[in-house]
Amino acid sequence: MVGITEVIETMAAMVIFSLILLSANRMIIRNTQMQITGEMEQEVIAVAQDVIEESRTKEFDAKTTGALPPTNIPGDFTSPSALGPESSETSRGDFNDFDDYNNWKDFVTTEHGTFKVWAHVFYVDPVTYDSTGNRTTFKKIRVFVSSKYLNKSSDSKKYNFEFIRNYYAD
Amino acid sequence: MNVGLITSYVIAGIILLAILSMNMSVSSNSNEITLSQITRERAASISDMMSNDIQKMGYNRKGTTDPILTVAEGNKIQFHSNIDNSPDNSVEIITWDLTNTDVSNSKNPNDRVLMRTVRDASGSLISQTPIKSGVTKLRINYYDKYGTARKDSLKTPLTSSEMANVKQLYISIELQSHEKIYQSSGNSGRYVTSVWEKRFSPPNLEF
Repeated sequence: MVGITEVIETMAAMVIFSLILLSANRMIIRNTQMQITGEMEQEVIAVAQDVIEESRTKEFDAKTTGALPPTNIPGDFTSPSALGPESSETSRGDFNDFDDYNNWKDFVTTEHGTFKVWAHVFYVDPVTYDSTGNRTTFKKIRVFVSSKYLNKSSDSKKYNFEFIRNYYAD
Repeated sequence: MNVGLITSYVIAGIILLAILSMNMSVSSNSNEITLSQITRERAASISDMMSNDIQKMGYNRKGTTDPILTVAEGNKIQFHSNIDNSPDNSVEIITWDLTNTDVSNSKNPNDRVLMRTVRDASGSLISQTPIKSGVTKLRINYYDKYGTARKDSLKTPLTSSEMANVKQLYISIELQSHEKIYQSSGNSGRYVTSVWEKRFSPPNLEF
């Protein structure tokens, strides 16, 4: 049995060391994941901002694209159920008013990969800023962005960004 | 000769080597995180400055400037704007240009000085800001239609008539760390890279 004690002690040291190594590896993997997530989330924000900034450059409503504003505001604005692009506006480049982005979706490719982007536009209550079924002078755009590299368990994590626009603040 | 003792020495040696290797991995990872954070902070500073300028492209207190864009190249842009919002409506000429000048305080041979220059309408220099934050690439794409796919940008440099029709810009900046990180003693190392990119829809280009 001479030397067996040393072998057993060394084996015990190996087990302890293996546990430390596993823990260190987990830390490195977590750090790397956080680093990548940070970089990707920065891109997610940029992609969503692109859409929001672009929508802000458009007219508030299809009925305000003409030379004169409608007589009855907000009664003459597009009906809440009809928000979205007109039949002639088939692509993002054709959009001419804010709510044309309602139900729009696309894939945006950047240096960081491809992102799925989609948006909803709806009227909001002037007091609570919650969605409303009535015409108001406030509209909200909600932009969603997801990427296969940003996962929440097995599903893609969905990021959403909102912007409220007021007809009179244009 | 005690076989058990020799075996334990061998195993102990392996453990020591593994500890050394683990220590190097953790240290390299820690360096990478620090450099990555620094690079990202630098990217954020540049993006703040650039976003501020680009959004105000063509701005004046009464209407827009004429012209708005005067130089539209792949890594250089020049435009007019009343950037200081002066009441006399005086317009400044702002230029962003990735020069060929190396960054003096960096060990990275790829980074170059990003220059922001502001001149008055007569061309006299108002301010010049050399940015030595490790910029290695500046790419500017121009679009004459909203929502155009990134690859379908206008061919640079743009002509005057093309510049008048620009609606959106896509700016991409790549930054690298000043120092390399090494994964192991044998490898040649690499620079930590961070990319900032954004599509701009300056309100004054809409008209």
